[in-house]
Amino acid sequence: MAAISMRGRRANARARRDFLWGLFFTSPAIIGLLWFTAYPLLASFYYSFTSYSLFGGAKWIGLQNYRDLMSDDNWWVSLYNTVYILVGSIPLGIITALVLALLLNMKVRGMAIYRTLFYLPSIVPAVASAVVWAYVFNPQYGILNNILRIFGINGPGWLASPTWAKPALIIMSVWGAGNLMIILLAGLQDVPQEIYDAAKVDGAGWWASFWNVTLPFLSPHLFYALVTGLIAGFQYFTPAYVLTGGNGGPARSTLIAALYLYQNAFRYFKMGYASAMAWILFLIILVITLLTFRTLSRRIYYGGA
Amino acid sequence: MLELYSVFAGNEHQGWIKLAERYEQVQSDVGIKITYSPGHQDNPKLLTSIAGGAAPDLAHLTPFSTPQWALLGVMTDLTEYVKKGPQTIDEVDEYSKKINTIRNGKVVRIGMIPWDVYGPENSLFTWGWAFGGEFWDPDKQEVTPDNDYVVKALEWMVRYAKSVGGPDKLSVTPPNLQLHPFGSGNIGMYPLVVPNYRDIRNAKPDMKIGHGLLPYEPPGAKQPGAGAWFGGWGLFIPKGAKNPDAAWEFIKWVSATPEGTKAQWETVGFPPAWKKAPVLEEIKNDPIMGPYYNVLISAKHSRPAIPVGAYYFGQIGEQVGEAINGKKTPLAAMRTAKENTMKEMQRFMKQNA
Repeated sequence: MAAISMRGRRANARARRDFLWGLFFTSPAIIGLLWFTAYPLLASFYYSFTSYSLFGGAKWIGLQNYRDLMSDDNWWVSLYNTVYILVGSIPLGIITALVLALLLNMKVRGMAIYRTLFYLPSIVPAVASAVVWAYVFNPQYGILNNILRIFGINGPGWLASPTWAKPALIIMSVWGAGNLMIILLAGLQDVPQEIYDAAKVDGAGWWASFWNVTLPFLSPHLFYALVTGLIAGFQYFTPAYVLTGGNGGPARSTLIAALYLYQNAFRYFKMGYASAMAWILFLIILVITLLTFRTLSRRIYYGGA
Repeated sequence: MLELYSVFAGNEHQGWIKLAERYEQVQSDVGIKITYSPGHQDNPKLLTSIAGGAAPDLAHLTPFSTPQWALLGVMTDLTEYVKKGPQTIDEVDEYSKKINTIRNGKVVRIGMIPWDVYGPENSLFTWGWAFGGEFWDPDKQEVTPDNDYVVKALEWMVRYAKSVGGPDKLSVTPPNLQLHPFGSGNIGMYPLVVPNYRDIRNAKPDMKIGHGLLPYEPPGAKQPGAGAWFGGWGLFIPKGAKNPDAAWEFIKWVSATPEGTKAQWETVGFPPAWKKAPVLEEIKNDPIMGPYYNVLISAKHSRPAIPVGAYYFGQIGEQVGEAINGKKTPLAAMRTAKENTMKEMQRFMKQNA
């Protein structure tokens, strides 16, 4: 009895020592997390119940910011714009990445070069690419309208048109498909060849094989793309900011939620109001993500290697 | 070492560096470091540095922003510096208001272009004044974007846009990232500010450019050039600056001494606001810049300095955009701008004054 309890106590002491060492080595990460993530998070939650200009103390006003948001026309416009761009760019991005991944999965010569080329745009800095795209969309000299002209179509004013500015942003978002393409490519290469062979034996053509073999094996990756796309979509900011000078024009057509938040925080000195917006966006993302999991996770097939 | 947060990029940024070097040449105590901190209606880098206690010694602001920034405690109060005594008798006049280091003069319009978009807001101010309108009623303490002549000006802008098929039909591209679209030779008339005009003259010496006073519209306005207005930039000392005294010396030098104003004109290139600056005579006789002198001396308007200037400006920009794109009538748009701005002003005054 005594020997066992001695061993037990020594094991406890060692376990605690290991734990303390672990804590010591992870402390930089924990401190960073607390200081740069947890603290700003909690602070912004607090500020959302105050009127705060960034200079001088924050004045407690309870739920006033949230109430004002409900009747703020620009807020609803910004939510509409955000959802519009989301609904356009997520499917387009996923389909583009999938098509590219399928192409790259073919054993053709020079594949490594193509892979690199298609991936490069997604690592170009956001601001630089926005400047380049501004030229692409130029109604007079831009590539897009030049191509349309070849087909006899008189291209619209794109970023200068309230009708076409959002479609322009959606088209631009395809630029970043390289990231997802690599992930889908990895997923494609995980599909066991035997299943394709079995399908061929059963007489499946290309489409049947794609629909019944490839897609199920890719479903976790596509689900990931959808969820991360939704989260990123509600935080969409940089291209809209760079291409409109932070004004959300023309005629508020590119005023997205994050941009309106930015204007209130840094132009109108309404930090509290902007914080309330941030938390409403958080709630929206949370609810939508939960809904997505609730409805779709049952249909995901986790059969990959 | 003083640190100056500058909103300017490109040629003007280089100009400010040269200006700092000139200041360093005339005295040996203080060096100036120019740090790029872009912003026009918002300047997150500058504001965050002030709020976070790491303010630079000097920074740019427009006179439009001054009342709100003053009320928020962003700036160091200069009253006691002013009382310390200016170095020349003439400076007394200038120092009785706020310090305006820089003003832009321009033949057809005097305004500020901090980067390359003039914007719907500035357009409304320009033409609103050219029609004889006003944007602020000091007696009622109300913003007046719905002033009859301002609305008439907006109606004219909307008609003009419609006559070319809509604003999105316009496609005049600047020849490069630095030049104003006027330099493309595809715009017949344009109110240009000094740096844009100078860049075009330098880049395209063969381009024939005439000049005249800003067109006006009776009966509201009384003569050509009636709509000309001042924009420009000033310098302020952020709260929490480490070297306020040295910063003040620089402000005085660059804004109200003959050598300083001349150095600024030669390096950065905005006409100085100090009426007695000798360099103004040079400007008057300069073959390229001469037209600006007349407007500098006679322009009467400036955007109203109210506590919610940035918000008013934003509202005007938004609502002018709505009207020009046919989403609202001019009158409805301006009424919305007024309502929203007054509401915001009441909120701001209640919470900050």
